[in-house]
Amino acid sequence: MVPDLTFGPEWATLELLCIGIDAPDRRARFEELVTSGELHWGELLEQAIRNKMEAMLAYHLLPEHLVGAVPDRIFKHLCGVYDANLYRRKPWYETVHRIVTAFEAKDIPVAGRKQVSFEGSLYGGDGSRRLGDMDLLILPRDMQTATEVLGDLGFEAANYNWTSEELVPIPRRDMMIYRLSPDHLPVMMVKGDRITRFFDVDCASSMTWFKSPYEIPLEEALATVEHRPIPGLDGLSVPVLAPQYEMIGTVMHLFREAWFERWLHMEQDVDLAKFGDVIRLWRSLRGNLDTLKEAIDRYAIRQPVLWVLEHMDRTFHTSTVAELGWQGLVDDSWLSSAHSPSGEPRRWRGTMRQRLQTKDRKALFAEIGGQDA
Amino acid sequence: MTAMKTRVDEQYEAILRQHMKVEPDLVFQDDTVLGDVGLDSLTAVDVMLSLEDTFGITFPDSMLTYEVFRHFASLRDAVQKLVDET
Repeated sequence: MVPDLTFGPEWATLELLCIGIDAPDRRARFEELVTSGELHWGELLEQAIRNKMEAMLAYHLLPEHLVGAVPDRIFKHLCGVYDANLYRRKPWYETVHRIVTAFEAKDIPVAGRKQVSFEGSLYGGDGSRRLGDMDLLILPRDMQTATEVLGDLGFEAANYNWTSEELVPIPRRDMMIYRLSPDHLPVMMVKGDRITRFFDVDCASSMTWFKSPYEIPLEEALATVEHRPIPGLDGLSVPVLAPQYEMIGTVMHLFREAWFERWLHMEQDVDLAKFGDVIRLWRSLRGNLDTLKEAIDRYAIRQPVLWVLEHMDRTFHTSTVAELGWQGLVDDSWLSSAHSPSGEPRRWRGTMRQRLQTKDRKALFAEIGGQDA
Repeated sequence: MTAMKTRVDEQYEAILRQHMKVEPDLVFQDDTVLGDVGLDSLTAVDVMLSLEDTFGITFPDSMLTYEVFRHFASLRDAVQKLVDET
């Protein structure tokens, strides 16, 4: 099924890329939209940036028969973004490899998460998946040693000052938040080059969040780690979790950043790229759903998983909940629920499609008639 | 009980109530788990900065732990200790 034009051809174009244009009907629709002359390229560019899909958009506009449909300066800008992301692959994965090798030398079990794993496995290493920070999963007991190892590799807890081009100390307030939520190390950075100004690594010791009612035993998850080669980069590999743990970790991460309103205020709310990962992961898991279902039930995480999958099905016309055989287990009240920064239950209005597309998401959380939306 | 101790107790609770937006009729007990009544990591930082400003103290890194911020009494006692050392 291809997206409708309710939110405009620009949004439908990005939704197609999010779902993937590997199917003939979706590819045909994508090319039809690109060559229609109806696209507002400024709007498309802005939404691509907001949803971390600039490199992917650029990559799929490269076929010769599409290039002429793109305004020249827009096309060259997108190519610049794509080239930078493609260039970044080698030093980025070399850095990941260096960290992982050093961790493993100290007997620190580690797995790559999100783009560390997906860029190669789900996107074929073609440079279309945006590479940002390096997300790694380690055990709580290894947090201190990992900090020391990263220090030995030249990393430091820091922010990047884009003006001075230097690493600067993390403000005390932010450091306090890290210390009081000890399931993440402070962001550790090392300077890069002109294209990749810095490499930042985010080491987590939880697949959910600090004090979460949902917990995935990391010993079990990390026991499934295997090294997977990186496409196009001979000799480099990344440690990855078994597929059911990759799915659970990705879905729980999306749930956390969508359900806790605080992420909205930090501009880390849901986006198309996050759902694109889940959609592709789901396809890669088909045929092995029993293992996933068993793990979801063993860890008692049906509710947050269904929150994500039901929203995904309604938004992108996937059928994940039906494939699990779990239809009708969540209602609209749960789907519209959220958690306010002050810890109170919240509701947001509208659909996930509206939430993804709107540029004023806070309005969806605004109060109505004296009650939370 | 010293005058200083009284000052810490009263202002400490007032600062908690101001930042945590707890129900007015909530009675803090020594073993009240602050996380159960609305203290998350973001609020904890606001509370801590306010405590530092009010009492002229600085929380050392060694006190920036979940355990210190866990209970009503554990945080109050940490503040009192820092005030006494000032």
